[in-house]
Amino acid sequence: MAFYDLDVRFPVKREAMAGLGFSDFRMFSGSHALAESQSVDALRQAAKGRKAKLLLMSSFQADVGLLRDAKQEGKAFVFPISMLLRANGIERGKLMSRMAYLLKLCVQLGAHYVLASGARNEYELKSPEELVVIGEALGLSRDQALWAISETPKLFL
Amino acid sequence: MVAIKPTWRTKRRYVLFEVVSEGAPSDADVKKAAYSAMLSFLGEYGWSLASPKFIGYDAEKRLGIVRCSHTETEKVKAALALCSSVAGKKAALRLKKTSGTIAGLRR
Repeated sequence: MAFYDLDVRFPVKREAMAGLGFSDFRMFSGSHALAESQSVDALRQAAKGRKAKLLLMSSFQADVGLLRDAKQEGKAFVFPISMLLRANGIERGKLMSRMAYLLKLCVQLGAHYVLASGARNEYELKSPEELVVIGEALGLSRDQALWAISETPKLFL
Repeated sequence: MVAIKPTWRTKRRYVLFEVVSEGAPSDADVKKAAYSAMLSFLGEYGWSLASPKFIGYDAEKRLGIVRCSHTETEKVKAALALCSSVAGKKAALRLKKTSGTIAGLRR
């Protein structure tokens, strides 16, 4: 099975990613392919546009309209695990709760979702197995988490 | 004392991980970081379910082993994966292998 990391935010060598177990990866620093915002309206506009393929709701606010637009337009929500690494204690708990709820809605409403590292340095990179277990901790089944790093990313490469 | 039947024994899993960090952490540093990450993620109740135990750390190969209950293995792995520092320096604990025996990890 081939694995992909669609959100790496520093110049990493292909060999390093291959060593972790990824077949391919994408760097999204300043790219239009990933739309990141805390505003639901901004992301809904991005979802309906042509440039952005991936959506990152930084606050992980659950909005059914946004999820339905994303599903209709074939866009995917990105869940960068590095945000959890940079949080601690109660803040990490709150963030996990919001991420888990948004993931649950993505599954229920049929919107695409992708687990990614969102790494800004080598210590934030995660292997496929690590992304899967964290996905399970966020409420996904093992198969759903595997799908989120293997089959779904293929649609957006 | 009556021995516990094999079917009643708690089943355990051993998780092998590699420490990737800026410095050269000691056994005590890695143990403290792993325990802190697991307690922070699992909480006291989760700890009681998982019963994790730090088995050892090879400073040369930078490999450590943690033992846990087989039902909570994925949560313990997630806790280790979410550890971001060891001895105050940036680090990552890379999950390498999981096995029912320590010998299985060495294969």
